[in-house]
Amino acid sequence: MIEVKDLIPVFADVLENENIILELSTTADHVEGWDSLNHIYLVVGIEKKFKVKFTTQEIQSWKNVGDIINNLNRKTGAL
Amino acid sequence: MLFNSVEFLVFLGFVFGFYWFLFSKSKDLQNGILVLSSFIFYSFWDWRFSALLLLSVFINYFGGLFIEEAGDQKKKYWALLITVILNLGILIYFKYFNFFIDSFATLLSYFGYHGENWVLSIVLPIGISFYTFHGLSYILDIYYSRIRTNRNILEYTLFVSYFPLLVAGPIERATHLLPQLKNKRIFNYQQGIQGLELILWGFFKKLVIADTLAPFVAEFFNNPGNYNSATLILGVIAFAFQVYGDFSGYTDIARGVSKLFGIELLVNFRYPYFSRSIPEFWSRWHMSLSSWLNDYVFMPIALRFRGFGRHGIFIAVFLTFLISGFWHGAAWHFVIWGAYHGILYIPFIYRGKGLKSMFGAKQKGIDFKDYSAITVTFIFVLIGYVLFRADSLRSALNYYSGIILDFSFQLPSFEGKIRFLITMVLVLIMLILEVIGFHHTNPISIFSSPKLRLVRWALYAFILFLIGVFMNTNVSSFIYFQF
Amino acid sequence: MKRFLRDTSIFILFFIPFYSISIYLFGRLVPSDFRPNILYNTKMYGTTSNMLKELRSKERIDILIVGASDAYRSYDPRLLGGNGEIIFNAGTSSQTPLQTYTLLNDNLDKLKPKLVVYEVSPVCFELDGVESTVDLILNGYSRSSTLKLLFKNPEIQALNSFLFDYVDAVLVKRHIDTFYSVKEKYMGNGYVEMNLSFNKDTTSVVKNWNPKPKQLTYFKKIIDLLKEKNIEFKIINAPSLTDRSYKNSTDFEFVFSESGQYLVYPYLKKFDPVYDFFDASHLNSNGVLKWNRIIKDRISGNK
Repeated sequence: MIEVKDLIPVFADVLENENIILELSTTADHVEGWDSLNHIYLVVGIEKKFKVKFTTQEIQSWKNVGDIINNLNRKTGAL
Repeated sequence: MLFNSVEFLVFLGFVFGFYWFLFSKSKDLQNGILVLSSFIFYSFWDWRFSALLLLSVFINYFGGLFIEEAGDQKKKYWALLITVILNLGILIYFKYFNFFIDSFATLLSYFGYHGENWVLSIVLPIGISFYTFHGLSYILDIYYSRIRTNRNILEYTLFVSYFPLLVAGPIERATHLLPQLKNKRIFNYQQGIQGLELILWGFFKKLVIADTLAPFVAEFFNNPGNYNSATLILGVIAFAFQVYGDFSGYTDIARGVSKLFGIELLVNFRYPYFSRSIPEFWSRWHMSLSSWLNDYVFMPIALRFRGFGRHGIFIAVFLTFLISGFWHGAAWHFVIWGAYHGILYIPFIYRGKGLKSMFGAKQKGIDFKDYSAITVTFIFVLIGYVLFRADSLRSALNYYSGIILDFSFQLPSFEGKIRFLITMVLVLIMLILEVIGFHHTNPISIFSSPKLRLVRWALYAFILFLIGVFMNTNVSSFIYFQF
Repeated sequence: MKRFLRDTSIFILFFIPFYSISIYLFGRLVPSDFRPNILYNTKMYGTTSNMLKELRSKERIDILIVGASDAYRSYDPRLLGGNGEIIFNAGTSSQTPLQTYTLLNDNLDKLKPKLVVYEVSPVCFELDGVESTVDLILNGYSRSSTLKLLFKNPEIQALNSFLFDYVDAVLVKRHIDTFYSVKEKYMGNGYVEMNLSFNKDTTSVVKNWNPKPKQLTYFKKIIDLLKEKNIEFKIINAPSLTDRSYKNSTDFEFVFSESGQYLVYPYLKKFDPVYDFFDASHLNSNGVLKWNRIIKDRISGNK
C-alpha cells in the first residue's frame, strides 16, 4: 500500500527542496515550484520509482496528492 | 454593442434592474434573464451568428452527455473526438478556411500554377474563438473527470453565452463558472462596489490609454518608411501599452460587469509588463488563455513526449505557442510570433535540473534588482509585438528593417507630439497606480477601508475626470474582437 | 442593495458639480493643446455668437437661410434682398441636418418666414454633428435645445462644452466676448465675409459619400417639418469643388431631389476654381457676388 510519505522523495528531488510536506489534500497551489513544467518531471519520477505507466486521461484527472496515491494503488493492485 | 457606448450602459442598467428586482426569486430566473440578455447583446453584433452560438451550445451540451455516459473507454474517446472535431470544424471553417486556401494557392503559384480564386467571403462571427474554447474546456473536463456533466441546459447555455465574456473573454472554465450558476446569487455590497471600480478602471485603460495611442500606432505601422528608427521604436512601445490598455481594460470591464450580477470571472491580467522573465510574462498576460492552453494543449503533448526529457518539454512548449499564435490570427506572422515566444523558453527548459518554477517566485513587490530583468523581458516582448501588430510578415519585416537599418540616430519625429506626450504621462500615472496597487487585482481598490471613503471618492472622481478630458472618441472597437 | 444604490447616487450627486467645476477650471487655465476634450475657445467662431445674438432679437423675417459654412459664407442678404425683404442667414459651422432641424424647430414659429433656403452640404451628412453642437453650446444657444441635442448625440466634447458653458454663464456669469478675426468679418444678418483670397487647393481626392443614417433621418424630418408648417422651401447646393469629387454624387443628388424642391444648376462651369473660391469648398467674395446674382431671382421675388 503506497502512502503519501512514499512520494516525498520524488518531490524533493524534482523540486530540489528537502522540506516538502505533503498530505492527501495537497494541491499544486500549496507547493512552491510545482508548476506545469515540474509536473511533467514529477510524473516521470513517480512512474520510474513505482514502475508504473499512467495514461494522459488518468494524469489529467488528478486533483490532489490523494488522487495520485489512489491511482498508484489501483495500478499496483494494492486497491 | 461595444462596451464603450451609451447603448451598452443603458442595456446594462436595464439588465441590472430586471435581474435584481424582477427575476431574483430563483437561480433559474436569474440565469434565464442573463441568457436572454446575452442573446440580445449578441444580436446587436449580428443576429445571424446567434444560430451558430446555439449550435455550439448544443454540440457541447450533448457531447458532454455522451462522453460521460459512454459505456467504455473506447466509446468515451470516440465521443470526445467527434465533439472536438465538430467544434474545431466550425472554428476552422469560419476563421481559417481562407487562410488555408490562400496559403495553398500561394504554394501552388510557386510551381507556376495559378488557379481560380477559391477564397470564400466568410464573415468571422464575433467571439467564435472564445466560445469555442469554452465549449472545448467543458467537454475535456468531463472527459478528464474533473466535472460532472451539467444536466441543466439553461445553466450550460449561460456558461457559453454569458454576455460579459462572450466577445473577448476571459476564457472561463466549467470548474470555475458553472458552480456559481447553480446557486441563487445574493447581492453583495462589496462585490458591487468592486464591480464598479473595475468598470471604471477598465474604461480608463481602454478610452484614455489605448484609444489615444491607437492612431499613432496605426500611422507608424501603416507607413514605417516615413519614420526614423527612434520613432518606430516609440511606436512599438506605444503598441505595448495600447494592446495592454485595450485588452486588460476590456476584461476589467467584463469582470466588473459580471460582479454586478454576483458572478466572479477569472482574472486575466496581473501586471504583465512587470514580469521578470518570458515564462512569467505568460503567467500574467491573458491568463485565461495561457492556462487553457496549458491544461488542454501543453499538458497532453508534454505527457505524450515525457519519455524524451527536456526535448519533449520543448516540443510541447513550441507546439503550444504555435497554436497560440494561430489562435490569435489566421496569418503567418501570428504563427511566427508564437514560434518566437516558444523559442524564448529554451533557456528556461534546458537550464539545470528540474529547478525552481519557470514562472518566477511570487512577486512580493517590485525590487530594484528586478529592474534589469523586467526591462530585458519587456524588450523581448516588444520585439515580438512587431510581428503581432503588423498585418503581414512582409510589413513586419519592413518595420524591423526600418528600425535596424536607420543609422541616422535622430530623435523621434512625427505629428502630434504633444498629444503623444500627454498620453505617455497618463501611461505613467497608470503604472504608478499599478505599482501601488500591486497586490490588489485592481489599483483603484486600494482604499477599501470604510474610513477612507473620501479618499476613495476622490480617486474615482480623478479617474473619471481624466477620462472626460482625455478620452479619444474617434476609435472604438477592441483589438481582440478580431480573434 | 439599498446601500449600494444610495451610495452610488450620493457619489453621482457629488460628482456632477465636482466634474463641471473641474472642467471649467481646467478649460480656463490649461492651454488648449493639453485638454483635447474641452473645446473652450478652440472651436468657437465669434461669428456664430454674433449671429445667434441677432437671431434672438429678430421677430419676423421673410427669407431664412440655413446650412453649414457654405451657407453663412455664400448668401449675402444685402445682395439677395432688393425687394425690401428681410433676409436672415442662420448658417453655422459644420451644421448638420441634426442641428438644422433643431434651429428650424425652435425658430420657425417665431420668425414665420415665407421661404426657407436650405443650403445642403453633402460632407455634413457624413458627420455625427458634434462640432456643430459644441459650436452652438459655446456660443450661447438656448440651453434647453442644446441639452436635447446632447441627448440625441451623446458625446464627451459636447457634454464638456455644455457643462463649461453652464458654469461660465450661470455661475461665473462671464460675458461672452465678441471675437474678432483678422481674416473674416461679420457683416450682419448672419453673413460672414472672408478677406479676399484665392484657392490653392486643387487636389481632388475621390471618395465615396457615406452619410450617417441619423442625418438622413433628420433631413427627412426637416422636409416634413417645413411641409407641415406650410412653409415654402428650396434645397440648394452652392458651388463647391469638394462636392464634385464624390464618386457617388448621384446618391446625394437623389436624396436632395426627393424633397421635391431641389434646385439644380449646371453652374459650376461659370466659376473659376482658383479665382472664385478661397478653398475647395467655399466661394470667396468674387464667387459670392457671381453666385448671389445667379440665385437671386430664384429666391427673392419668388413667393
